[in-house]
Amino acid sequence: MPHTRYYRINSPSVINETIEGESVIINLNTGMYYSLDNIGAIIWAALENRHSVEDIAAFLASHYQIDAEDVETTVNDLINQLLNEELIILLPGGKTIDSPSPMTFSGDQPTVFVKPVLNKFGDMQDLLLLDPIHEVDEAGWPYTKPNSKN
Amino acid sequence: MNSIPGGAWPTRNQELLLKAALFKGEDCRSAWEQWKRQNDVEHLDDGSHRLLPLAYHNLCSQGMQDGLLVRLKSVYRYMLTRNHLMFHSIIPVLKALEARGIKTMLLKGAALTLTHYKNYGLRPQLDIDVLVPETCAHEAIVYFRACGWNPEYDYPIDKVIQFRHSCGFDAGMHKRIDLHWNIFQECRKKDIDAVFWEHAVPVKVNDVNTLVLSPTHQLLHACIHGVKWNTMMPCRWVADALTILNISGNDIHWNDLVSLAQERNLSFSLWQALSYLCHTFAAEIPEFVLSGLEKTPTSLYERAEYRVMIARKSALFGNFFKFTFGYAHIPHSKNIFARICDYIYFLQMYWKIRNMASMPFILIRDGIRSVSAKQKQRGGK
Repeated sequence: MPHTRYYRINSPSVINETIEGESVIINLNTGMYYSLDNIGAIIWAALENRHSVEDIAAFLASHYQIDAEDVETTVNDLINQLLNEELIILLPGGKTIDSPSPMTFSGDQPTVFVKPVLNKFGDMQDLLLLDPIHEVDEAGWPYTKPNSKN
Repeated sequence: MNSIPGGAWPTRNQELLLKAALFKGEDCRSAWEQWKRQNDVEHLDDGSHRLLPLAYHNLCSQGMQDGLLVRLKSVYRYMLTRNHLMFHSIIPVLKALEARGIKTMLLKGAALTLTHYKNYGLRPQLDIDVLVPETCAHEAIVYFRACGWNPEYDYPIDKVIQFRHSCGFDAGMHKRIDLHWNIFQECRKKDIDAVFWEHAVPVKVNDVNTLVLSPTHQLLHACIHGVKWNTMMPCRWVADALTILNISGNDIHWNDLVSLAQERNLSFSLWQALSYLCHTFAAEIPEFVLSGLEKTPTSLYERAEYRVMIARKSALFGNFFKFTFGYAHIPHSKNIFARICDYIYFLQMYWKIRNMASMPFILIRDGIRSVSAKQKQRGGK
């Protein structure tokens, strides 16, 4: 039987906030900024609440009526990216919360299952030189205008 | 766009934005709609810009749908990130000071972020204000310098401590600390801050222990520090004071507040600030507080200082009068010659002039530049 895996956010080096369904993640040690939305934000919130990879996949597969193995592969792909960026840590002792809060969709839930994308933004020092009103595109900071100085 | 390059009180437009950022229900909605009609988010003054994250958060929390909120969200995300980085940068500093047995207290935005806003994105700040006991100021400054933090006032440490109540330190982008050893520039007597330390409230930044002022003292600090002329038009203090009142209104010891202001000759400033909050934002200030402060006998000197502090910088004299009032609060030697020397050194430090012999020439040059800039500005209009 495969080993059940649980992760935790790599705090205090990594901080995150949810803004209107988007997870904003900052690695304070590396100075990198990330964002996850839609399915990615749901997976992040589930990891934060110490749900296992298997539970997350099962929840999403059930909700979107799609193949659980495919979803698990997708979730694992994202988790590997998060691990590579040192945003999450594998919990060695397995589950640490006896009854994590149930997984739910908060805010506007995506109508279809879309493969999550971890948006990664470069050096924070450069990003913070941007004027968040005049030098950003329609999505706002930290998405730069194509002709921006950065 | 607002053409006024500074002020001591919020402008009418800033008041509307403050109401959108702090009020609930219809009061919030109507202020927001009115503000939008009269302002262009592309051309805002710095004071208004600093209120955008709070406005975004307040409007969203009330389910407001508005296309402009995307622009405000952009500023919110930016401030959230910047503030997180700033807080992260002070953790090793607080730890090091704690290890040296130096107590620390966070002031202003840093303290309010932890205790009242409880959200890193709502209160923009350019630096983190940290108070240490006056007796530890020398050791703290030595530590900062040794760690590569560049002081705003690079003068002998004893002189900096004598003439200033705080000194900024910079260690690169978004690593800025304003180190205080007295809370108020106007109150420099020995042990005058003891009461603030006595009632300070413990908080943690990550796992580091530090302190913040009690709600009563935070309100006093926000009001006294806020009502001063500032090129950025200081409307942030209004948001701070109203947030303290909204969240900790029941914990304010009003009698203590009045006594503290009276003992420090700050009753006139506090009365002005609280009256403004009461009349413009319907803040719940007990009547006995306002009447008590209003009836407190204030000297001509205290009123004159208040007038100077809320007045714009003089074209000819710059901040000379503000500095001079500031100098008057410093404990002095009884020797008149020593006092004159101190005063000259004090001005030299405030004007950041390295060589005392060049001081008269620099002052004349700056005076001419300032007057000609003023004339150009008038010609432009």
